[in-house]
Amino acid sequence: MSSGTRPAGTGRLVTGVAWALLLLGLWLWGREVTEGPGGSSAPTHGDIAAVGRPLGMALPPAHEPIAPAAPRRVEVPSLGIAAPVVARGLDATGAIDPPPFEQPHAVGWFGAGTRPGAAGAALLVGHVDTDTRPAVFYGLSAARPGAKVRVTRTDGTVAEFTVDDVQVFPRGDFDASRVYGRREPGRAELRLITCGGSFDRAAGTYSANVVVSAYLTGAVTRVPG
Amino acid sequence: MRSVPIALRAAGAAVVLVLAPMAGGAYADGGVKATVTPSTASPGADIDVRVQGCKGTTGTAKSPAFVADVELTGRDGGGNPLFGDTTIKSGLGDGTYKVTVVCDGRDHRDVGTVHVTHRKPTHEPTHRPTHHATPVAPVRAGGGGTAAFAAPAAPGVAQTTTESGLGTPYTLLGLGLAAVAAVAVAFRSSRRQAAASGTGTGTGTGSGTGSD
Repeated sequence: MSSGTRPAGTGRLVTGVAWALLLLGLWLWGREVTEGPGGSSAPTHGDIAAVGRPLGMALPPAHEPIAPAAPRRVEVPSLGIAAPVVARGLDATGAIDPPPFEQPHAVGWFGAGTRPGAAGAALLVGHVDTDTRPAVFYGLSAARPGAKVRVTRTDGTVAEFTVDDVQVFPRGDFDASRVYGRREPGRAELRLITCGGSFDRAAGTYSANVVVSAYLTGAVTRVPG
Repeated sequence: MRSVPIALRAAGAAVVLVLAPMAGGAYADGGVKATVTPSTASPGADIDVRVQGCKGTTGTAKSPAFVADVELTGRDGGGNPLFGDTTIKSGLGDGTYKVTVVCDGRDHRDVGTVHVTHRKPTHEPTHRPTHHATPVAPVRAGGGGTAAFAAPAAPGVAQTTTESGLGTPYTLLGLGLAAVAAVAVAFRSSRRQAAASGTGTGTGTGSGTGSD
């Protein structure tokens, strides 16, 4: 006689479970390999935007630069960022000095540089975290092309920018002209910069900068009164 | 008799090989041109170099006036201009200095000039801002408070990643499950073979029912 039908039934069950486990294991491993959004580790180098950019997504056309005015507030609705903007200068190393850690909710703007809405690149800098908790630009690396950034200016106008690039620049190989310089002549551009990469506890600094680049796509003039 | 056509072909090839470098050389030297901006600069000033006529996308520009050789790069595709920048040597005497460009595997001598003068050209601003008037360095914008743990709930970047890419816990879990599954399948198939050989055919066909 055969060895019985019961072992055969359990045999198929075990085989099925084994295949299910195998597929589950491969799926979990595959998620990590492809490093999609929701992966547990963030990229430390390169073009973050490429990870989430839909194929063939068209970005809106650029708006003509508008009359310059200093920024007062910046909002990125898709990331839940809404913060006041304060003018800042450069520190001794030639980097934009972000607001002090005692004001982790404020965003700094390089006041001697381009004003948001004018032709050129306006530079905004914010902390990713303090030494104990997340800060204003903690979620910045999740920005993706097509996201909107709204800057309210001292003249009441709200300038709307659209993100077109998100990149990580390591400190050791820092391309300042690409981070701080305008990318296309005649366009009003905006950079949102914070720290990223891995944290060196001995030096007290992060290993890279996360740079979100956006360009002007709209402006709404607040009617006075 | 067959040696004649061979000899003629060899002679033709030799002629082409002799003439080609001369033709190529005449074209190349006439085609490459280097432009320095500003064309008149002070010692220690930054200058840009633009080179036209190189077929490749990289090259070097040299001059006794430059503090270092200029690495030239250009956009994809040969025939586009190449760009680079450097600084005029400090303490250099006034005069006109020649620029030589190396590209496409050869030197192109004296294809540009730069004038050095200690007097600032009138179109430059007289008030020279400090060296760091525009930002040049990466920002220091984080205290490291969120770097200790990976927090998938928050879309943060402030995470320590000692390896690029795979998260270790997920990798081990995935590989462990795959290993368990492989062992289970192998175990099952060995039991099936043992059952099949028990019926005497040993061909391994069919499932483990061993129909008699």
